[in-house]
Amino acid sequence: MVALISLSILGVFSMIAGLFNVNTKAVLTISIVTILGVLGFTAGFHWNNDYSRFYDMLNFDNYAVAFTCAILGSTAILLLFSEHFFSNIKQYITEYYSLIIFSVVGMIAMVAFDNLAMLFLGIEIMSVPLYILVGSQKKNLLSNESSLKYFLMGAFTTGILLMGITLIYGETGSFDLSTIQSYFQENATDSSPILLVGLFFLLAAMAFKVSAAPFHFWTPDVYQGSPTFITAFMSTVVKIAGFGAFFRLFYICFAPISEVWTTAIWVMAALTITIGSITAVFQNDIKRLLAYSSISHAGYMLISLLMVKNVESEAFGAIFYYVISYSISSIALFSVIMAVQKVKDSSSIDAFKGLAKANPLLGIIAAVSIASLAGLPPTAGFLAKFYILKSTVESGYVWLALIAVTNAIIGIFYYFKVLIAIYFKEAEDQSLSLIASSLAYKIVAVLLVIGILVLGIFPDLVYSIF
Amino acid sequence: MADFAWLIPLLPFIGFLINGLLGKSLPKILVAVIGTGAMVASFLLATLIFFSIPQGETIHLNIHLFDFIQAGTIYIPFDFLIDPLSILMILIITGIGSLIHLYSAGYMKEDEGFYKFFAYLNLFVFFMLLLVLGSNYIIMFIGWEGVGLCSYLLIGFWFKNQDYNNAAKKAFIMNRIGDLGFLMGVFFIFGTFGTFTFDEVFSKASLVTEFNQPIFITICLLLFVGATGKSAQIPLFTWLPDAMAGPTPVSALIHAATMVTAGIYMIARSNILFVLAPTALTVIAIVGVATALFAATIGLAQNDIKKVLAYSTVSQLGYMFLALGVGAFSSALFHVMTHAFFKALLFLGAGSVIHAMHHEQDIRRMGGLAKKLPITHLTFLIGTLAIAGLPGLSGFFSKDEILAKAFETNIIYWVLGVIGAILTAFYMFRVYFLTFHGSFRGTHDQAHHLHESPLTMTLPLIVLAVLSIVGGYFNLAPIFGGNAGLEHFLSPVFAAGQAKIHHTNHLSHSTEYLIMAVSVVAVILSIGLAYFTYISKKSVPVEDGDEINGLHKLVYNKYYVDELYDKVFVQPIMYLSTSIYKFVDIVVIDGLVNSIGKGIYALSGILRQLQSGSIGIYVLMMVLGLISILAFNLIP
Amino acid sequence: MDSIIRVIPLNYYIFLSAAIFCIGVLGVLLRRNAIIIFMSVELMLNSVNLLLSAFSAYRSDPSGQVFVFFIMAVAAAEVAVGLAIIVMIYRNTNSVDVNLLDKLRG
Repeated sequence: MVALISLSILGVFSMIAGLFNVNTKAVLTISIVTILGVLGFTAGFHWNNDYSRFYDMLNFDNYAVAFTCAILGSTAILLLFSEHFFSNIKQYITEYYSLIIFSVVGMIAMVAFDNLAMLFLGIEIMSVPLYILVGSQKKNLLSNESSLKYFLMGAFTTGILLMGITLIYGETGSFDLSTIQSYFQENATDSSPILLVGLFFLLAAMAFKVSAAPFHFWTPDVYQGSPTFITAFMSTVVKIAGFGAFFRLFYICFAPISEVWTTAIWVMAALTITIGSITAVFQNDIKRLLAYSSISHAGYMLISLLMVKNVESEAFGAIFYYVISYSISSIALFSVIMAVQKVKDSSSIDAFKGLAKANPLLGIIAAVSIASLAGLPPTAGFLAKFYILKSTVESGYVWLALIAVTNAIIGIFYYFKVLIAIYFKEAEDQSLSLIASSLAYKIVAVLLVIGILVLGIFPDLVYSIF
Repeated sequence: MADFAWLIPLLPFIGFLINGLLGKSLPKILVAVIGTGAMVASFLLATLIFFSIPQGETIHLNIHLFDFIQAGTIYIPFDFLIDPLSILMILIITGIGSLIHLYSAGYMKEDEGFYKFFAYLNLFVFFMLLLVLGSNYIIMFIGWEGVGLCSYLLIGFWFKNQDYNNAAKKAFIMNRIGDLGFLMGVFFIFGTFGTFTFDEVFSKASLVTEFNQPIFITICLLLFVGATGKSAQIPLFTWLPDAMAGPTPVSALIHAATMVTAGIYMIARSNILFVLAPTALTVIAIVGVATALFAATIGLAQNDIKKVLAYSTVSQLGYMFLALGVGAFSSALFHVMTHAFFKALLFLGAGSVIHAMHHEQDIRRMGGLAKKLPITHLTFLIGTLAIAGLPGLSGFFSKDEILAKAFETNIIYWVLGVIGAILTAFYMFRVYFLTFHGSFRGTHDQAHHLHESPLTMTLPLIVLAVLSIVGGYFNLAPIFGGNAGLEHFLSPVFAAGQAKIHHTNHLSHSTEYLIMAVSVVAVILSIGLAYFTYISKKSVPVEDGDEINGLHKLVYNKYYVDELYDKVFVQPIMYLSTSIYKFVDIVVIDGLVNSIGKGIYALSGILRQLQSGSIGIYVLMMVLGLISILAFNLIP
Repeated sequence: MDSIIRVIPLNYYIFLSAAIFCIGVLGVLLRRNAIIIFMSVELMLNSVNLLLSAFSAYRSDPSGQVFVFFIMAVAAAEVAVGLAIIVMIYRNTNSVDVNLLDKLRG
């Protein structure tokens, strides 16, 4: 609650600050400090201290607190990395901050909702600022195009989501998650078309938000067209929130009727992983490649929804560990991409040739984060995949695990295409050696790399918090 | 005091880290001080631990450092076991090690890889200490592999010479074969007892009453395969003579005094298992005595001073295995100790000669060095007398003990052992006479530069010479009025095993005197023959290719064992691997992998067509996806 | 009020809403003008509003009607942003035809 209010005030503040030409560095600092303060407060006050608000429409249980902290932490780190990106933008900088912060407010509502109304509001509060951010390069046609695509498809999905919510309401008579859940427990054999259509409409809408096949088509286009910083934001923070909501809705609320929807999730997960990793093989633009990679990762995270029969804390641990490891690895890699884009106006893989020689630090950050995304030990990404696959096999989905492993191998193929460019190719010009990073950037980046490795060696820091 | 035992391996490891990481920029004197200092400190610590054991008591202490592996039912702590056996071994390792480090400071002075040499030596000592201190088979195995690695690095120390590299590879590969046996033995132990820890394995084994169970014979023979690799016994002995490619201090430390005795240590440590498998013990005794005799005959015809010493090492190790095979575990360790003294002395003496001769190792090019190298000459003579087993010197006591125990078990072992001793005395004195007496046969240039070695090299020689003389009195048998100190010290380790051995016929004192007299007389006669041949008749071994007869040629070429192995194992394996590489690797695997890669690439090209860029298509796909989900779930 | 709504059976409301919703979906699928697509989306939302009100009335539960207000408010916000995006596109390309926007593909 405090989190929502203080972040909203922060958003309004930074919007107004833009009007009065307050120093953008100061606004950035205030924003980061506030976000970290809210993070600390949420973690310290709400952990193991369930807290309901708005007539039980929001509930800050441990699950919500963990995801809120992940969202706030990732946002703070991304903002710390924003220097390379914002150095090329001259005006309205504080409005970017403001929109990002409003979007984060929506995400917190998404992961803490206990009522479908809050889910809807959270998703919209998150999405509307994103539509603007995606199109924020007003003169850039690609940015325009991705903005319109994202907006139209997002609005379309909102319609689907609302129809789903309405039909569920019509069948169960409530928007409240616990009421819906107890309705399902009492009527476990209810298979009226209204309920099923509502359920699958909700499934489709959530799948769109986390870009699971076949609702993923917007992802590559939007990720490629957006400004890189926004791409990073979408592929990490937005993804965390999307999964937080998806998991909360299906794993917790719809668990009693899991037989109905697990097959659909199974097929979607297999499709998502396969389409993501196979299509990525052909890509030459790193942002597009990472978009497909994020689709593939979404497939792995979808698998965690199949763990309904497992111990709850184990499933929470597995999904949360995956989200965290994916998020920090992606942020680290995007920080490198942003640094390179500062001197090269291209996001093609060729732009990264010879990076390791020109700037060894960036080379190492890229290597570790790519290894983690590809799932190689001893990084966090390896164990994240391992935990998910372990529970997949334990739950009896051996074929799904096989598909996932096969695609993980294909994944190494395209991830290493980037690494090879960075380490083994000669640079085409000298511009890469012009990258100058601030000390803060270097410290945070090195800490991220250490974090990836530490999590890979001591997974219990995150895996067993629940 | 013993609680600080973890420092003993740690100090050489720190020395390795400092010399290995920073050595390149340190002055040589500092490198030598760090390397040698770490060893001396370890040795002092080991001595303190030894003397802190109260008189008449024994020690059995488990030092827990940390949990190494914990997975399911497998629990492997990183523990050290301090008991008489490990104390004896660390005393030998750190003591001889200190002397050889000191010696190396002089011997390697001109070498550009000085710091590397000391780093490797320290690392070797660290692993060797791990091997003997570990309280379970896994820690032992880590040390076992570690010393193998260091041995490889040091044999190939002068890696610019391809022959030396080949020798290093040969040593490594032959050891690997043995290690496989060892590892499988350890797995069988785990399968049988459910643990790797010595104390638990041995206490469970001591409850077994039935002898010669197949599982015990399997375990013991597999462990023995490991021992034949590391301790150069038939059939895995051929790497040791080649290992002489390494610098001479390495030969002294690793390939004579310490590493090659790891196999004996391992079997002595597991004595209870071997006692339960008398068949395996018989195999060990036969292999041991055969190796002792076989290697001694090869030693007769070699002309490289280090090669002779190498075959002599193989032969002496054979005696130790003979002792193990007849159940005389403490005698084997007694010989390990005395052999460490006199063989290290002989190698270092040979090193001193080689140093003076500017890396000439052929005894046909030496002669008359006694006057130029007085200290080396005297100490080498003491070593030669000790190994030949002249009464009063250390080698006499330990070898005699082994022969007596062999006589108790089977007289054939004794006869073969005495023949081996006669051969040993002959070839050792052959080397001694050809090197230090007669006239100088080297070049004029070499003669001009002959000089005694510096103090850092002669001091270890003198210390080792003293030890070679008095070493035997540490375990003076009752028959000579001693109290068998070492045997009493070690007896707790072997108590459980000895309790299961039924000694049938104890030798009477008169028999013991008799067999001793026979071997002493035989050895003296053999020395006399050597004197007659090489001093009186002044004969010098013929040049290569001028072998006197077929037998000489056979022995000179080491019975063509290397060539046999090459034909029977190496070439067929090389042929097989080349053909597998050509077919399986290039055609099947590469073809498969490449076509899968191309297939995925093509598939990717097709799949990306779906991503047409048109919003209409995207929405259509979404709607179709939704409809198919609904259709699948709603239509019964 | 409730009684008037209940004059018509609930199923009729469901069928009507479903029809309007499908018209909206088809509009999104078939039309190329961004504004018309957007209007079709609004049609979908309004069909939801209608259905929600009906459910709410039949269950005598006001929360459904409150939800309708949420939807209207959010839809208004979306309209503001959406039209701004369409205007931006029009300024850059002089067209609001979505099929012209296929630079991002593959």
